[in-house]
Amino acid sequence: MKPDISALTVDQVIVHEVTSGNEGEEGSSAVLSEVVDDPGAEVREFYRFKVMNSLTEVGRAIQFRQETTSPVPELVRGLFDDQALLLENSQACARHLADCQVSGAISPGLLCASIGTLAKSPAITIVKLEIEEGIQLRRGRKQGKRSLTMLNVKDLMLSDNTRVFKAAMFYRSGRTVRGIVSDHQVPRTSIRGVARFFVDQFLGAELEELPEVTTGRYYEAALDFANSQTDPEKRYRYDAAMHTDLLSNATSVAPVAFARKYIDQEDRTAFFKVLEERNIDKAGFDKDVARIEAQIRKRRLEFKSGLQLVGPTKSFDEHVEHTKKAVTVRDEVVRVGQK
Amino acid sequence: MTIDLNSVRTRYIAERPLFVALATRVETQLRDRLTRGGVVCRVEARAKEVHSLLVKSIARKKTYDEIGDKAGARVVLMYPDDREQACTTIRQAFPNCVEDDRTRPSDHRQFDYSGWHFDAVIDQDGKELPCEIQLHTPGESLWASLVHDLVYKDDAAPYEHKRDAHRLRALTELFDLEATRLRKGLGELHMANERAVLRSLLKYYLPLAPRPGRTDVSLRVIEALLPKAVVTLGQGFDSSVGEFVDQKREKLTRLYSADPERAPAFLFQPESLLMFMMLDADPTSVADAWPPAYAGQLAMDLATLWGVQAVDPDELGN
Repeated sequence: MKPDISALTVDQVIVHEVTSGNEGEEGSSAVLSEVVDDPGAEVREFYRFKVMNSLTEVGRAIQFRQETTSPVPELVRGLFDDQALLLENSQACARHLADCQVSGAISPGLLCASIGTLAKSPAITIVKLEIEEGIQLRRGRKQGKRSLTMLNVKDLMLSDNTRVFKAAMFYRSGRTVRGIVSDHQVPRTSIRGVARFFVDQFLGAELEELPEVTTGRYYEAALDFANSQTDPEKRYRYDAAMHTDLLSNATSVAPVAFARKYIDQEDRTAFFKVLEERNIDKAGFDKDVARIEAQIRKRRLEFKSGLQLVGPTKSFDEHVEHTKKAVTVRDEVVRVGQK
Repeated sequence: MTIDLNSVRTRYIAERPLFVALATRVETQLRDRLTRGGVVCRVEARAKEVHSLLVKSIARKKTYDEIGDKAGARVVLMYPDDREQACTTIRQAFPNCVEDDRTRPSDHRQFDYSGWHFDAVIDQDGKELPCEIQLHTPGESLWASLVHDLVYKDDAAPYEHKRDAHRLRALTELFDLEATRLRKGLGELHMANERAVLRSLLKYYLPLAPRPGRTDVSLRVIEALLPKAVVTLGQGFDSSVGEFVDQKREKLTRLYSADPERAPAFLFQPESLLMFMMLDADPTSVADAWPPAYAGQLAMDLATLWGVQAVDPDELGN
């Protein structure tokens, strides 16, 4: 379960650069900050807002792996114990990122680390950014006359439009360190692929819950929500929509988008409440239907009369119609009697 | 009677820090209680300056103990018809205060200073100290601040000037009456539902963020959100604003304590509270109803602040 990310504060932030190495050299190297230089409240707030936005939008709950070659888990734990280690431990993180880059898993860029709080617990963020280019307006005077010129900014880090970055936030929940990770470098529909290197290899972490477990829990929750409807037509329609959604090619489930597409406005509050009660992230999660494959490929309806209708989801789409009062099957009977 | 000015000075210099602390406390208490009661007003308080106390003692021939306004607070209402509610709130805050209603002159032909005064005796660090609270409507405040000191206390002022001053008082009384009539008319006719929702929001929003925002913007946003708010939160949702605020008080207090210079533009609009209620129940609800006149980013920023996935209203083509 993701915590309330809006409670994040950023007290100190530091930046290191991971370059692709000098020409003719193999591998990459890290250009490390040697002091923690406060960029000021305005920049810290901007950074906080960007991280918060990213984690809220596409964040996934993670935890450190029991066994990993990444030094990040120990560095983060060390920082929780002693915040004065921000410089030293973030440098070590940057060096590790440079090592990961040698293997080609992660592209060059900047590594930002911050310490602050989440509600009242300490919180650490680690953000990997790519340096962007941008045009800046420069106002000046030339020979006594006003001049407005364009300045090419080659080392733009984080702008309102920056979407190419990966962010992780770690916080303490009791004695356990929990985390959230987001990646804007891959499509919103997936956190796999590139992100796996960031999560596994760099952070030494893994998703807190297997996607197949989350997807299974979501399926149960959505079925309960559909069954809680008093209108039979809605029961049918929401069940159909959920099957369609889970059988789609999308690699993630996005309940907010699902609700906007399929759930009537007046039922959305109830839908989100069911998800909240089951600790299912409204913002989305990776889809893995391995555990429910058989269930979602078939639909089963029970009627007031005791009749039951069972069949492939695809056939329901093609042959069954539902209105408030009636279910119509348009098909031919091909066999009767007990098997 | 001779007043020993040196002893007045010495005693006040020694006691003034207590009056300063008292004035600050009364100001905070009044602001908090009045805004919580839905009264939009300006509150200011001060401890009299030493020289001012001495001059008053000389001019009015008053002894140290006879000067009651060493600590004083002034409440200026935004709307004249909130006076009754404000009086009730002040009575509740300072139960043993002595009231002086100067709003109804004994001679109906008179147009003179008007205001409602409360003389309270309040414990400050173990000492019972007097504090005067003045409650003014906008018209009363305008007249008092402009004319009261200028002419009123000067008995020697020429008749014409005194007449001018009292004519102005009639005008400010008319201002208060017209303002009340306008407010009532607007409340009953133009955007009545939106105004009712705004009043409910202000009651809980102002104690959290004492910045009323722009009413015209609030009404436009509420007008757009209202149909969805009813669907998402249920009919009569405005009566459950208090419940929501109680449940989320810690989070709301944190959010509204943000630096206004860096906070999202709509955070310090009272309708942000309604948006938080809607986002909390259904992250899609605000985006679906967002007024096209305002950039979708404004709604998305509040969603991020609330910690829910932001849906971009501009992408929905509202």
